[in-house]
Amino acid sequence: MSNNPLPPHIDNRILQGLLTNDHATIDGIYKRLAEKIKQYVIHNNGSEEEAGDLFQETIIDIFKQAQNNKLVLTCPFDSFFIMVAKRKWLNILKKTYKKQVTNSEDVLLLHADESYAAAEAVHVEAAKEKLYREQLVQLSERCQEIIKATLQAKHQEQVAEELGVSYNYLRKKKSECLDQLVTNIRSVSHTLYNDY
Amino acid sequence: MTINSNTIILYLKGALDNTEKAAFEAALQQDTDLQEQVEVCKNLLAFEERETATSESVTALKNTLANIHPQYFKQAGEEKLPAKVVGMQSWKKWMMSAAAAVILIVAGYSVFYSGNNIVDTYGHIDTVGLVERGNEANTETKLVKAIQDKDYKTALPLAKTLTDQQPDRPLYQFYYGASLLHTKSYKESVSWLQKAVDAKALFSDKAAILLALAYYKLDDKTAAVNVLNNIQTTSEEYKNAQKLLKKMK
Repeated sequence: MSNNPLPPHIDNRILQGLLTNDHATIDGIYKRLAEKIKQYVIHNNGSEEEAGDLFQETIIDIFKQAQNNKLVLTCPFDSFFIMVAKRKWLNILKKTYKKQVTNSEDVLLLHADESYAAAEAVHVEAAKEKLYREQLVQLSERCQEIIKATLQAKHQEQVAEELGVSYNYLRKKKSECLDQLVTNIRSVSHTLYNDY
Repeated sequence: MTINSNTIILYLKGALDNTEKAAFEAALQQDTDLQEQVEVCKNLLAFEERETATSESVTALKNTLANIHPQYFKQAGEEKLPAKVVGMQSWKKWMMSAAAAVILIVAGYSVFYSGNNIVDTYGHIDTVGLVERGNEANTETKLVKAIQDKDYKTALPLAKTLTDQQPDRPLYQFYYGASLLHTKSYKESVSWLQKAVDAKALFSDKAAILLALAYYKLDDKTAAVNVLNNIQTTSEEYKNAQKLLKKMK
């Protein structure tokens, strides 16, 4: 985040509309931004369908971050949204080895400096969560069950009962599964910094 | 004190006793590797807590997006019934005036053709989830591309390779089941699609639609209807499920 905090922007009300799943607010976001994102993606080696995916993902990422109370806008919502979407698209292009992104930045209104850090934070957080979840589903279903239950429940005895296993088995298996997951995540986490 | 990922989780949840906590923190100060592991575990806990807290509201948001999105972006899965169906019905009408034996052949073909269309119309999965477009050389990417191109003959061996490598991964089970369905291996597709449904993943409701189609093709209407009735009203697939239920009546 910025070292020189700016006052919250009036567009935080759009975030509130998003958080309350307000149809008119969400429709407004589409009205104002769908065409811009579509043009940007199409001009940068993508298709309309890919633009649609990107648009939805961006809304969901911003929603999640706002829901965690980690997001306060200090710039207009629209430029913030575009910044997050653009960051995501650059990452997709990088991963897919598609052609280089055009430099015609005028397609979008970017570089609202004060919001760059916040947009970056939304993107990195979403990318990190995605990477963690990808690694989680690589484990066996049993391991996934155990890890999810372990992270959610407070008492291990309760977890063992819910999963229908003995407490000792759970302890042993949980350690194995968690160690495997942490190792896997660590082995790929460098991509967060190289790719995201 | 032995420190593993389990100990780290207990520490982060405040479940270690004072002695263990002091020993853990002493180790943590000196061990950068452990610090990194703690960071990973901290994120794991945060993501899980967040998912528990927000899953319902994210689902509600996705439903709103599903309503608004098609007005602004082209939908890959949205397809009208192929014109050929109408053509075949007209053809069939014309044939009504011809010899009875010919009528039987055409009617038989018409039923078969209509049956295929139901899979084509409701069985495509190119909009499922938010598919990552990865390295072209990657088997998964090739598979996703084949499915997006509706080239299920190409998709089938790729999906098989991936399920052979990782039989427990729900996404691969789903792709394999879908590929089997579209290449008319209905019986074989059932078990894979059922696994994808049971996984309760992002794509499980879509898998349920495909599973219902497989049952329908196997003439097990009861099973098909049961599967469709289990799709919740809040699901993005609810409308498709209802349409299919009407068609199957």
